Amino acid sequence: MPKKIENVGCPYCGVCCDDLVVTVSDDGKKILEVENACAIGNQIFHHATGSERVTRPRLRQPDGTYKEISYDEAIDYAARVLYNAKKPLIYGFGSTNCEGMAAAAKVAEKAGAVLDNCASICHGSSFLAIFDNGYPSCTLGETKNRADVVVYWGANPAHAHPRHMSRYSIFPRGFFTGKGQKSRKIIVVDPRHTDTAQVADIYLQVKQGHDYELFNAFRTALRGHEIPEEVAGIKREKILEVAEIMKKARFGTIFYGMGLCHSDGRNHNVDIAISLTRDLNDYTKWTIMAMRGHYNIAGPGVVWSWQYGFPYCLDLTKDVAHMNPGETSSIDLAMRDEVDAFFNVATDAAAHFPIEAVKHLRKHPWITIDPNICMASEISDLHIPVGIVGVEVPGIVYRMDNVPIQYRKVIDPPEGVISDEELFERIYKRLCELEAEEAAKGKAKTTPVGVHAEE
Amino acid sequence: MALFPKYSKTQEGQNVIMEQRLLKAVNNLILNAETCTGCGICVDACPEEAIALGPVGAARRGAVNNAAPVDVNPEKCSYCGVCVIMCPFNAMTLKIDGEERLPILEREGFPTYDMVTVIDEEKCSRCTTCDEVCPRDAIARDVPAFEGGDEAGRPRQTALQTKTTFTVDTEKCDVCGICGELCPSITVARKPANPETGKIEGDVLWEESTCDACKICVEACPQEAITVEREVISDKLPGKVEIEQENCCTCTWCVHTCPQEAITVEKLFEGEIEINPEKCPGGCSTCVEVCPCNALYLPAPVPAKEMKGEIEPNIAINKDFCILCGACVNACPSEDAIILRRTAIRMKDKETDLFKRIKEKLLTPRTSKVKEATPGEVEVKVLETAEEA
Repeated sequence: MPKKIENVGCPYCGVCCDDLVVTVSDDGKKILEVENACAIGNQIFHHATGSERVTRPRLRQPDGTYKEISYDEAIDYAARVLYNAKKPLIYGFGSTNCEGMAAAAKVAEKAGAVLDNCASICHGSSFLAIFDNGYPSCTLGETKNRADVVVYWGANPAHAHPRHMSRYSIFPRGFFTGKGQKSRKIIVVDPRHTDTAQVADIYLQVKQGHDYELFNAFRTALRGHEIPEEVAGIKREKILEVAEIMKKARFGTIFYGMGLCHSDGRNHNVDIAISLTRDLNDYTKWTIMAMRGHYNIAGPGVVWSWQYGFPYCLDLTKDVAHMNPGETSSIDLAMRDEVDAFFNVATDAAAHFPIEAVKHLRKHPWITIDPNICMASEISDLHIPVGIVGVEVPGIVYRMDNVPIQYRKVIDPPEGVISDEELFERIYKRLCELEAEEAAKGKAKTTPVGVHAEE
Repeated sequence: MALFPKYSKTQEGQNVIMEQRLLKAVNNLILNAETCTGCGICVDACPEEAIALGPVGAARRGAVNNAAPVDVNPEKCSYCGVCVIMCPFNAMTLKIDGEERLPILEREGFPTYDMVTVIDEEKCSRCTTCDEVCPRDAIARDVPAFEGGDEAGRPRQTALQTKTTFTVDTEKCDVCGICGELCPSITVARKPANPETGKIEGDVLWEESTCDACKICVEACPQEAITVEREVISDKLPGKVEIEQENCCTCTWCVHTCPQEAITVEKLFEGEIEINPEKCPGGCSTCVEVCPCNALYLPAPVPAKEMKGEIEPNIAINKDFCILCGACVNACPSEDAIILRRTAIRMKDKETDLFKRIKEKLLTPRTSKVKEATPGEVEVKVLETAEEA
């Protein structure tokens, strides 16, 4: 009898749907059906038991081909790269569990590496704005149960977070929003008439890159001052109308995405969005939320904040952690050629970094730790496959509103394949061994000579 | 296969035309899909059971193409015209050989609605309220446009019947010309400057028809030489406001909102509509959108500090405006959220046996149903027990 597993978490986007029902074949090896997931989530589960999985580490040979090696060999290789590098960069972590992130951080600390996650090319600008201005946010349940005005600013959940609207923001009937969509006003701000705009009650077609002006106009209007006839392509009457709706809301949430984080102004766009939210709280209740991308991209921010006090761009090359995006962020380090080894973990930097950055990184050893074949795995020196979190590996993930969710395991990983956590623990162990070996030879890497002589 | 009679159903714009063609004679039943509200009274009224309810909500919202709220089978239809008589919204027309006719009425074989739609012309102040609130566009407000509502409209002073007097104290007037400069009703006719006298002389001429007695000339005259007095003979606006009976559905919005209490309308049906908001799934509002009388509404949420431990219901009705047509019951996708109980129908002329049978059907209490037997047709749940009570 095929087995139905309920309350399964989806390892794709930041909505972290945890209501999936997965039917597994009676031998427990094949995923037959996935209910409740969107098309993207569905594909992840079916892909897991597809035929194209890599089940052993693969090392690049002089002729350019890959050769399968054992996990022990791969772990030794990875540990040696880290040990010998002056400033390795360990990057990724959007798509693994918190246990894996903590283990990776341990390795990064031991290796004196730079540790960074996908926030630095995504919502990192949000973090910068939050450092400046705070984060008046809420959980998604509060939006579901209370929000009567929802703004999507520079975000397109219809395509990027497919079940966001139906689970939390527009369609669900919450405790104080029993009339579902009919109890909410939906406002979409985007230069394109997206499928999300299609669902909106009010669509503001802002000129691309002019969001800052539009936020300024909203804040000015809210304070009762004059605004020009047209701002960022939006007519004054429309701005006043929307400002009035926002002011009259009982509970509002602004969801924002790459439209703010990736366009001119970056963190300043987010910064002023937060200021608008704070202003609105003079009249009523407003909250703001970053549409975090990967299912556990909020995870590294939380885990590393516990461990080091900083969410991303962590420079662990000294005894004290240091963070300065712009200086210690992956792309900046790559462009300035400041790193000499690259670990691509649970991400695909080769596909999603600017090609110039990839060219720089590719000059040095490149190790990919990922369940799948991807651009990064295809240009690596070493590709170490791991189990897929949420499908083959359980663990904690953090939703876009920083709510931790326990993800389940529905099938076993392919025989012999280990988890990120186990892999990093073993790399850590190997690093310690290498250090001990070197120490035994009497030239330990960082021990200062004669410091304690005076005591 | 017999060539005749030949049946067809065609769509022409908003009209769905059912046709029965004999060798020479042609019968047409024409359904105006725009006017049709999906109330289903024709379905109950049809002696041949030739009419079925279609996707009422979707058709009214314009979400489906080429679908009317009701569907008539041109072969089953006997082209009797009972649906035409019973449709409260005037959405059906019967044409016999191309001519609009109702033989059943000509032969007094069926009663008609006893419509009462009166506006007391004496009381009516020609205001704009009824025209604004009427959900069926049934108010014919034949009042000339004035400049306030329409820039090209008549001058406002023409709305009143007045007697205005304008007098100039010629002793005081020095023919300075200010009043003429200000007002189109006043012309200052100066005589040419004459060195013989060395004085300015002339007349101040005034035209009553364009004067609105604003008295700016009085206030602007440096010599205080002008007096204007106006006596209002009648402040009643010209024109007439009437109810177009064929469009009126007797919702009584106009009756309840008329500031002069000048309107009398009697509803077509008596009875009771019961709303069970706890059965409403919320987030639908199909009933609100299909209601031809604008009687259903989504109650507005109250501010948090005024909630007093209660959350507003998902749906509510203002019974003053409900005509018990039943479109909401037909469109509601839920079960038991709306219960309709008609108890009487206002008719005039003799109640025939056929009418009595139809009346019995129309007075059957009903509510909506989730799982229906026939796909594509709406089926309501008949509440037989409640009928006795």
